[in-house]
Amino acid sequence: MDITKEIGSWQEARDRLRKWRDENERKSEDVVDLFISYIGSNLSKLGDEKWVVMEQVAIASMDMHNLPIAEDLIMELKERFPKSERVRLLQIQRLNLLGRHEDAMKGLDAMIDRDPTNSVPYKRKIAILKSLGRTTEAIKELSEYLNRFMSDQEAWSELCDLYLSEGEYNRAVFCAEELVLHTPHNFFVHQRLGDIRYTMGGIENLKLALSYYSQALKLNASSMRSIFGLFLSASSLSTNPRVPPADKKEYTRVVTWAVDQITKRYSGTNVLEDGKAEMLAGVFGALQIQG
Amino acid sequence: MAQTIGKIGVLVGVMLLCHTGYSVSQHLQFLRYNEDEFTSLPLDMVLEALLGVALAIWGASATKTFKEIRAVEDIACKSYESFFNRPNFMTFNHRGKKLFGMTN
Repeated sequence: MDITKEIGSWQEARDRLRKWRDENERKSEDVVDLFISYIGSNLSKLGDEKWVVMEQVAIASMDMHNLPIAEDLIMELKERFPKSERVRLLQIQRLNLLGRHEDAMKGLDAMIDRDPTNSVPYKRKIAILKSLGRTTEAIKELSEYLNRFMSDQEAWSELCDLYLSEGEYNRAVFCAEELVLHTPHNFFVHQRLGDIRYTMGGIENLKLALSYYSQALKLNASSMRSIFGLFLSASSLSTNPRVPPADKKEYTRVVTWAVDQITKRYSGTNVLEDGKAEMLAGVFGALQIQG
Repeated sequence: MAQTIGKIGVLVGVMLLCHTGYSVSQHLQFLRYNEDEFTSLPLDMVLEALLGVALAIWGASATKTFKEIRAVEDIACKSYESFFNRPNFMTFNHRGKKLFGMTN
């Protein structure tokens, strides 16, 4: 969707950018589009917010590989804040974009020497390793980093994904559990633990997946992914020959409930047209993996 | 509309409270001049204070829209994507280079 059609004035564009900053959205393409159409010519009207917006747009334009915009913005920021470490980080990101990873690494090392308590340069170094495909090194560095900054959720989440990409599910589970400890009320972390446990397979893991999906649903009843997860783990448990018949009955009840919920939720929308409700049942069968 | 009424409510409530405070000090002074024993406050002052408090509380809650008490409300409308977006681990070595690239 074209964001510039949705937004009519630079004030709206400013509010939208602020919202995305607060909500930690990436949306680089939209950010750059808004900047080109509305913000760029009105930068001086933004007051003190100008500088944060410039940083946001600089990162987004680098993400879009739009170097001219990024370089202009970084240059202007550098003039205004010559000693800022945040601007230094932007410059280093620019080096990454140009493929000068060695220089970027050196710059980050210098930043760490200047201030070892600043956590961002460590993370950027790990990001460089990741982008070069050196995942095992990235994992090693990140574990060391987490020994020092144990409450960094972003890092735990990243380590979890890195382990997943290496297929090390048990370690990924550990990281995901760490996230649950940090934010027990967040259904996303439960859902992801459910996903990992379901992928690992086996009766015990499926049972755990079922509980995680249930907890996610308890926290947020509208989470469609969790209902599907609940359905999938319960249905593989109910068809598993090694599950005692008494338990199977229970799992079958969960399956029926989940299917009911899914059909009910889709029937209110135009996703399911007439006659397609039966198709859903077929799709459910096809979704299952045989454990 | 509800906002303006609420604001007026707060204003009147606070004024009533100030007035009660003033009346009570006057009342105590009066008692001291007459060298009477203090037993209890007159009913109208107590009622005035209670009314003031009630008005102010009502007005303050009518002017604000409250945040949902359940913690999930903030997260429920977020997407999986934005929750697992980690800006500090962002890398630029992706398909964007070929899709929108202006760098080479």
